[in-house]
Amino acid sequence: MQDNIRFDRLWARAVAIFTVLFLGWFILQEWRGFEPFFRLLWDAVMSTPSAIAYIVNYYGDVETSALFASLGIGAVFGGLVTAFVFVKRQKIITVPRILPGAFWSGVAVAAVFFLFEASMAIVLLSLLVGVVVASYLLDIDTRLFLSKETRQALGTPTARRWMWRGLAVGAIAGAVGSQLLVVPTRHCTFAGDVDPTARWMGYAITLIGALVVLIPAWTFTLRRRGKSTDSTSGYFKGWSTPLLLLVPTLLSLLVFLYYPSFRIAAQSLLRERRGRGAEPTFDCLNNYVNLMNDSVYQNSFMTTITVTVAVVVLSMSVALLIALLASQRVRGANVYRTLLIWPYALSPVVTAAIFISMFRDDRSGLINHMLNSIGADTVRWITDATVAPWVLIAAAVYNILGFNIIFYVAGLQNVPRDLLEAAQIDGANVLQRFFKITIPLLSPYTFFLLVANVTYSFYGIYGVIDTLFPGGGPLLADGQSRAANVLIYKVYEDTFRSGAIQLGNVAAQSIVLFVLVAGITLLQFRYLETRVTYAD
Amino acid sequence: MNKILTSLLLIFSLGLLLAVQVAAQDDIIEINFVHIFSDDLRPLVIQEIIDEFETIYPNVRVNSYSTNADSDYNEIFLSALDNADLGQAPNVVQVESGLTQQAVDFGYFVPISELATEEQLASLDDILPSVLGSYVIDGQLWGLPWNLSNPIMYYNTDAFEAAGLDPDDPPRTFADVTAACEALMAADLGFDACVNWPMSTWFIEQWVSMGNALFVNNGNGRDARATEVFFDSDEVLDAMVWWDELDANGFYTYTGRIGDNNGEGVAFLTQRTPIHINSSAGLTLFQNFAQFGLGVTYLPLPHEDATNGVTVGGGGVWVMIDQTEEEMRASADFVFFLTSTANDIKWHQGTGYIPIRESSYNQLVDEGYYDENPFFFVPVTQLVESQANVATAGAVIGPSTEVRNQLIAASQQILDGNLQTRDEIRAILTTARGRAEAELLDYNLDFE
Repeated sequence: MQDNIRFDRLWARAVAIFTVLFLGWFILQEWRGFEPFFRLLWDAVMSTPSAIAYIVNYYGDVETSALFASLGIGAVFGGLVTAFVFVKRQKIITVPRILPGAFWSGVAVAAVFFLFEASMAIVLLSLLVGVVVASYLLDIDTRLFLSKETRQALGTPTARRWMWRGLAVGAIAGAVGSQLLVVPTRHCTFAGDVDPTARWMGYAITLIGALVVLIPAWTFTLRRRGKSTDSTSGYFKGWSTPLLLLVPTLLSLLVFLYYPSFRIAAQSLLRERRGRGAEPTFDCLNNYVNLMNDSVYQNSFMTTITVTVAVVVLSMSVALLIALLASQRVRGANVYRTLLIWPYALSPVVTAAIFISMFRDDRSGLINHMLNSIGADTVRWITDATVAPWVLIAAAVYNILGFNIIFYVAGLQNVPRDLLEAAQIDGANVLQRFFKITIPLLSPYTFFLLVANVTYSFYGIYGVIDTLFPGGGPLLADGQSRAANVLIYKVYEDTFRSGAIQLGNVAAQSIVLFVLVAGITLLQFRYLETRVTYAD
Repeated sequence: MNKILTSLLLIFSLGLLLAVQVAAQDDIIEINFVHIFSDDLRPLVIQEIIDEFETIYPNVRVNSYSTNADSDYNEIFLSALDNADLGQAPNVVQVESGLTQQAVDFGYFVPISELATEEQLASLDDILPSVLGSYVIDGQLWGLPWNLSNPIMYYNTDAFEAAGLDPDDPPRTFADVTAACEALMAADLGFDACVNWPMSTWFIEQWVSMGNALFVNNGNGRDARATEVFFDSDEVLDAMVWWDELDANGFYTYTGRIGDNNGEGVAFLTQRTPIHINSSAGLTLFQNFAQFGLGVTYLPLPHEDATNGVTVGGGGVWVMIDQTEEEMRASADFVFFLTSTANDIKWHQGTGYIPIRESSYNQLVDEGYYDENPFFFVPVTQLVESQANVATAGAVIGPSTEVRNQLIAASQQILDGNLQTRDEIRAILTTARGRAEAELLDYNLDFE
């Protein structure tokens, strides 16, 4: 046993050394390509002292009113929320849960506003308010949120102690955190003459920064003491070998992911042009303000939401139906399954090429040719602004369907047959068995697919659009927005189809897109994963 | 002990690798030339010219690069800039004429007039004045014209005969095209529409130039930075009204996609339209693939008197900054060699792009080249007979994609509706003008 471990360690070291040697050889081979990256890393290390000096200087010069305003907002927010969180974690009070009914009520309210073409902000706000109000109304157990009992519970010394503790911890963490995102913006949103939209966004980023520090602070102060971590799970004793093995991954993440992300975030605060002709200038949050006021961007945002919802709902429900059929025990089932998964092997571009030959506007399109031959009117699939998004949605659904089918077929094979048979004996009909047994047991797959499909609809759809609707598709009524111009397509087009673009603008677009997808994924993990039944 | 051994081994191995890498350097000057041509034909012509150059300049090696098949001018331009930022600037880059203002503004290129020797500058004398003029900004010659094309009208002579039209007397003006279309569509020959051309502003800009009018102010952006775009000028309006009429009568069609040069060409080749307007760069292709009698004529004139000529367009070769003295010298030598009379002729004959020099033109005419290739004579004479003035030099616009996209959107908006009155069309163009000028203003703000 002892020998075995020793042998394994030697192995690990050998692998690590080999990895480093290989990397060294590869980097030297490709030095011309690597040089800029290493220069970047080197510059980053070398500029740390000057960055610190910059921040120290910065706080020497900053407008005191702006500084106190940001610190104050962070401290008050942090203190109140932390006190609340502490009291709640100690089970002194309970708050309504977000039930599915409440969630869908919120969605319904937002949908009504959306249908009446309210602005983006109002739709999102109505969603939030709708969910919160409906939660309170629907959650019977906690409807006594502000009842006499709750007030009594809050009056106890324990509750008071926790509240004071929360206020103190929260105020400090909140004040520190508030500076996290406000320093990069140079407190510009707290200046007297700033645009009102920018001012509100400034408050929002102050609070987001505060949360970034507050959440770890809560975990740290509330963590259960004495809980030992599983010491057998790790294999490596030291840190050098695992670190060596991780170096390639960390290096590439650093260079290709973290650095560009921070660079883009910083760039979104600048007014910057390509080249050496114009110096970048600090522009506060104007890039974001301009996006909010840009009707083309607003339309692109709405198109993205519509397309995403449609693609996710259609691709997953259709995939489940097909998977159910493909799971039937019939002769040659494997052949059917393979054929059904086939579309996934096609790249988005190839998918779109198939769709363009089917949906061409004139008679050379397959669908229009068929419509024509049965004497029906042809449809302008590509150039009609109301039809075009649906052609896009159909192509995207077709493209990702195979992926969803694979997972659902696999999932269906894991649904125990004896459970279904038992239910059948108990008198459950086909639909009942499907909704009460199959769907809940498939929930881990559904959850995973939901995340994957949302990500695909936001990012992966680019190839389909570029082939099917180069330029963004037909014009909408305003004469400048386009019907298939989703956010990811717009940001790419703006950046790479023209050299003249103001780079801060596209950086801001990227950040909004990133925050959107990260936010949706986070929400899914927070509220949907809790409802997933892992059959373990 | 073990650890020390390991570290030593590691350092030693890396050192060995480094030693192997350091190879002896010879004093060959390497020039990297980036262009968009990734087809089977044109890179061969380029390589032929390069081989000849290397025999004359034995200490220079030219590497010619093109990117993937469907990359466009914007992409190679932007990737050249990005590479320059990484310290890996290519030496010579093909820059499309629409990107001229950006190429000047961004500060990555050296004007040819600063690099060239007296002798080389003198050799520019016989470049067609309208062509050379389009590369002059603020009195500096920035690049050398290389691959030039202009729009011409292709037509199906079989269809013309079937409709009782004379294929030897093709339409000359807007009114002629409309009349021909009426005859062609009345003959019911199974065409979807009468004429098609890609959704682009390129053709409109030609019609503006033919009327000796400007597309943007300040001498088409050449005397000073453009601040106004004349989308609602009479020339644009005339073209739009005609275009909308064709569309409303079912005479005009396009694939519904913006700038779909290939798709529109296929529609003509598969006989869905009898008349097709597109770049002369596709001439060889149409000659090879047309399964019907092919006719080629000039781009229609808005009216009989609009004879000022077409804009230059196409692409030129520019020299990038951040090079050693020797590399600069070699780059300049290369671009002059590439556009010399002999290679100009070779390029024209090999690819169909228009010759840029009067000497090439005269030599080709003398040799009787155009008697054998009469179609090529059409775009060439169209260019040669164009006046040399600011209208034919073409517009230089900083945010050229953004501004032109506004006119494309306006065109689509005009075609999408039913037939509209001149005033309605003017209103749409004025709105688009406002949006385009906002883009210009935003750009100019950073470069003034």
